[in-house]
Amino acid sequence: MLFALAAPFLASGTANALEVGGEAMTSWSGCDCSAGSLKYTDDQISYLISEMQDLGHKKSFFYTNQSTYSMDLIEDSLPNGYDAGYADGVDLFALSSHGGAPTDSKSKQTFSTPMCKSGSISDSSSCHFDANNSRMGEAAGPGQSQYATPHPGQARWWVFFTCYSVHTKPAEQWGQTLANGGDAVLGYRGTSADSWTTDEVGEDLADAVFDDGDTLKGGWFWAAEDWAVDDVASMVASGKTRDLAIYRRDKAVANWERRASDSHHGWFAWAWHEG
Amino acid sequence: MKWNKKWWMLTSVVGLACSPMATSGCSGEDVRENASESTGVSPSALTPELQGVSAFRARAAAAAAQSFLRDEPATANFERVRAAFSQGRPVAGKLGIYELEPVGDVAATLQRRAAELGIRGEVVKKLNHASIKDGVNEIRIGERSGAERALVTELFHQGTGTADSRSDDEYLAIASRRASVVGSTLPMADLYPYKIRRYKNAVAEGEGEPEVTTYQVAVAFNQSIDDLPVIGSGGKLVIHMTTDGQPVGHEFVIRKVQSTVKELDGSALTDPDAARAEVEARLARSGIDVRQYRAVRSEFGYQRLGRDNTQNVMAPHYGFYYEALDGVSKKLVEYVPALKDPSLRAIAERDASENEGRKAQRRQSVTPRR
Repeated sequence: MLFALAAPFLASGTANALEVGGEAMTSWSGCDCSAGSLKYTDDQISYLISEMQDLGHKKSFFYTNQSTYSMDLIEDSLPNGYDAGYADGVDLFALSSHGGAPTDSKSKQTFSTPMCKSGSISDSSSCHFDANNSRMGEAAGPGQSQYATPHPGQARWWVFFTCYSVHTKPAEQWGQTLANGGDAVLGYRGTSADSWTTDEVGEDLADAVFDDGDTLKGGWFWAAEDWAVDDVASMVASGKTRDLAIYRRDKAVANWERRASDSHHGWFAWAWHEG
Repeated sequence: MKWNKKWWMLTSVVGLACSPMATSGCSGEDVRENASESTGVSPSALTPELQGVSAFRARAAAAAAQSFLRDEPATANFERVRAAFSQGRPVAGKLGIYELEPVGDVAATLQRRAAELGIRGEVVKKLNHASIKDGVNEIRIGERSGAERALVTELFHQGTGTADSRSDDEYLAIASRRASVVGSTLPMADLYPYKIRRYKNAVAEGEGEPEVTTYQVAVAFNQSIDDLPVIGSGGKLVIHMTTDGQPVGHEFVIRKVQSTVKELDGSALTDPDAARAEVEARLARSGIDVRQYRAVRSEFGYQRLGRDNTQNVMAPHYGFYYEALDGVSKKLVEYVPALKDPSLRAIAERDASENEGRKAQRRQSVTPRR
């Protein structure tokens, strides 16, 4: 089984500098959405980006507060979205903010986070991002998904330093997002902390996955592992089959090849801890 | 948290600032009221004496109760310090400010530790740490904190899920044996069982019912100094294992105490309620409306920072954990030195300044802009 799955690695030394983007909310002052202020969210993102820069990767953007729009995370081929320029226009995108896992109109668990404004000219109605409207990493080419036009996606890893971002039903939250592209969504099950002691989780993720060669799963769980604070890190990946979803969840590393344009995934594998 | 009834009864005398059963908010002054409600004992009735971790362990053993002490020693001692202040006298107990052994030559330590653990290879310098890899075995030591992590890389968070057939105590026994092997540089007598985690995998087709399995177990031991708990991210030894108990790896952020900077007693401590007010004022200055939160955990102990941080001094601190009343927003966690004398407090703050400088540099290197 394993030899058949071993193809995704790039040859050593072929990995190029990655593009990284981040957004953070510390205050909703002057925003259409409202939420309680936070203290360390911008630090989480700036330390992550700073570490990635130190490792030779490129900062594409870092926006905070009134510069954050829900359209940045919404698929560009869907109404009010333009993720191609932002969350889906980089290899690694991270957001640090509040988050929730409400039930949507189809009685499914979703992920929602309050940005500052919609950012959409045609409809400024919702400053809330809802994961139902996200698609990541949809490649252009033979067998491509409908979301690859007009703008293909670039994102491989999304990291949500928020509460409930990969909660109890990750396939419902992120299934549509990972179905046609992307490697994984990293986040938290339940609430997460805004704290001086966890502001370096992003930096540790970069250290583990992009410097030390840890798997995405191992690196994320190690980065977020704080036995005093008790945050529960979680992550979700996808695959064409059950075994491939498991393999991609457990074995993915930073220098894996991108998913092909025709790789539509219907299985989802996730992980977290209890206790 | 699984509450063992017997354990809860035994520890209820010194229980949490806000019990898990509290249904209403308990920020600020309310915390005091709820503490009394949750324990059934008013602060003025608590013994104004610090309670050693060893006493918790002995009582847990005698009662055949939960072996993992979790944060009880830290929360219990917070309440004891508060009780002393409410009774107008200093809490009884030995305290101090301590200097840690230096991190030293990371490459040399790494080579020595790798040899002890049977890992052979060359030292590779990374951005913030150095590592040695030997096939699937890897050891790394952080340059700032001296944190050590060793892994069987092909097993770390890659295990096949299985039925979780062993008890907490069985995993603790396995982890304790492993700790004695990997912890040769640690003050092992000062470590106590802290928490256990089971790592879970799930897989599902579409939004169907998932298959859920356990694939890895980790046991954490926490450090004590003066028989008092270490609080914060550091001071932990974590043993990771497969569900059938095979070693997967370990990590610790612990360095031994090298010398005493200053011996202290309870009269050196600041009032815990004043410390809470200081923390809440700090949060308010950041624009956080503390009235929207409830205090859920208040701790007293020696603070040890996490793996990324430089730290050479350990001193008594208070730690405060808050949860949002809306149940959705982020938790807040803040620590503050528990020292009254500005000159003593300055020792802890001077030690922290290197981290603050490093973080400020990171912030400045990535300016947000649209």
